Amino acid sequence: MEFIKKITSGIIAIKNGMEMIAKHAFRPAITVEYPEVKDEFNARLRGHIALTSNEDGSSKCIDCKSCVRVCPCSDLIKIKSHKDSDGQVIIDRFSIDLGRCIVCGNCVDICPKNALIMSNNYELAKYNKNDLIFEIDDLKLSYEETQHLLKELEKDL
Amino acid sequence: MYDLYLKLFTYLSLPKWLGIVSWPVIPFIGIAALMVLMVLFLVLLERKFLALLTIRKGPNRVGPYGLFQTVADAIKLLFKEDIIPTNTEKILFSIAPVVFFFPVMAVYGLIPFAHNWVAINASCGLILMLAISSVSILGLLSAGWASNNKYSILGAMRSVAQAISYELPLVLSALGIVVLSGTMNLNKIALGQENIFGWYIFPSFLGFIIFLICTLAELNRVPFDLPEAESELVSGYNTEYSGMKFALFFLAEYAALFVYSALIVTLFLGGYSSPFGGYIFGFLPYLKKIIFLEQAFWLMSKTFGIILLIMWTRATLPRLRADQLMSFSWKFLLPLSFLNLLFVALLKYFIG
Repeated sequence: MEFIKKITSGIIAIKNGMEMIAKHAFRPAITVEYPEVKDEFNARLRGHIALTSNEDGSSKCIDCKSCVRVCPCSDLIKIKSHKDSDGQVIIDRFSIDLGRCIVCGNCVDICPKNALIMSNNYELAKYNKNDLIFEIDDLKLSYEETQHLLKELEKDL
Repeated sequence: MYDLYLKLFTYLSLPKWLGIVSWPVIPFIGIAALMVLMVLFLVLLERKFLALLTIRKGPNRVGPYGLFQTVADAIKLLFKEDIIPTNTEKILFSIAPVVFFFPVMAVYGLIPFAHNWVAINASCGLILMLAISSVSILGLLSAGWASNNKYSILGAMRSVAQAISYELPLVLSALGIVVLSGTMNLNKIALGQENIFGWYIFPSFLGFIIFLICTLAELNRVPFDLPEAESELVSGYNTEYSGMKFALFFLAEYAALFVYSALIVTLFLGGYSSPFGGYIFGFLPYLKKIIFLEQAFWLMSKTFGIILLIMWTRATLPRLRADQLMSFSWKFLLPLSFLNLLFVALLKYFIG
């Protein structure tokens, strides 16, 4: 009796499984065909590091070099700046070697002015190592992008 | 046709004996072409169908809807370097794919694709087919042994153990059909099932199920794919193979899938005969000459039904454990197939 029970339960299990799989055939595929179609990611995604910007397009960076000090990869971040007549800090050069960056996010955490942020961009494939040294123009997000990211991040808090 | 073929030789002023010798080779050339094309199509079908069942898209990059994916793969395999690792039995290593491939190809000649359209019309076709197809196990074992690789030898040993233990229920359930039809000629077996009510699946339904399960095991397909279990053995007996030799293994596996499905159809589902009794082409006087096309159509459609069923099970069922596999065959399928044989024999004796 036990034996027959075992067999029937096995047959029913197989039948249920086959039915379930057959139902899947009528669903649309969930595949995202990556290079053409890109998924929307959450703002918490730790993409590569980017610079935020003010409304007028200038950087929030004050050249305090906190990020340089806290970076575990020693000399990734290079900052040069000068002060204009009003005493405002103007950034001349801000570069990050993203090829060696481990995306730990320490610089983002330490930044006193929220000048650095982790963006949603994750596509970093380049043909040349030197192309991975990102200068300020490559790193800077526009004001709208910055606001969008910050708003999305606040939602999750 | 034969006379026309010989006339062609005299026309081209070639010796006549060449024509006489080469005439029986022609069906085999046709079979080889059919096999390669069928495998190319089957691989694509499997990938597309599995993708459909698992909510994916499958290959869709090469050509329209990915139709040329398998062609591209085949070309890649053909041009790949043929690596023979050190410390292998070189001769055995090279022969093994051929030994595995040859029986499958020979078996193609025994399947009746339409009435009397069979390359080798042997009176004991069924037994011959089962006998020849079991030779390919030898190829697996030699491949595993010659590779000098623990994964290969483990896969080969598993495969041999599995194939031998599942051969018994397979043959016994096929024997039920021999009892029912009174012949071992596959052509006559197909002729004996003229319409859907005459199909041998109804008197020997148990036999059909057993035969299907054993076929899955013989083909090393999921849920019985232990010989090439990716997560346990790297890829079983063909771990060390690459290039053309690997392609031969691949080809033989898919060719065997088709030929076993065709065998199931011939034994249980009426073979090339129409399920409605008569043929549509039979009613029309002009089309009577190409009635074999309709017969081939019926065989192919039924065969692809079985192939899709096998792929469906692949998408559904998980892999068995090695000891479960063995006990399932010896403790469950073998007694059941004896029971089936007894039932069929009694049915034949009392009802006729």
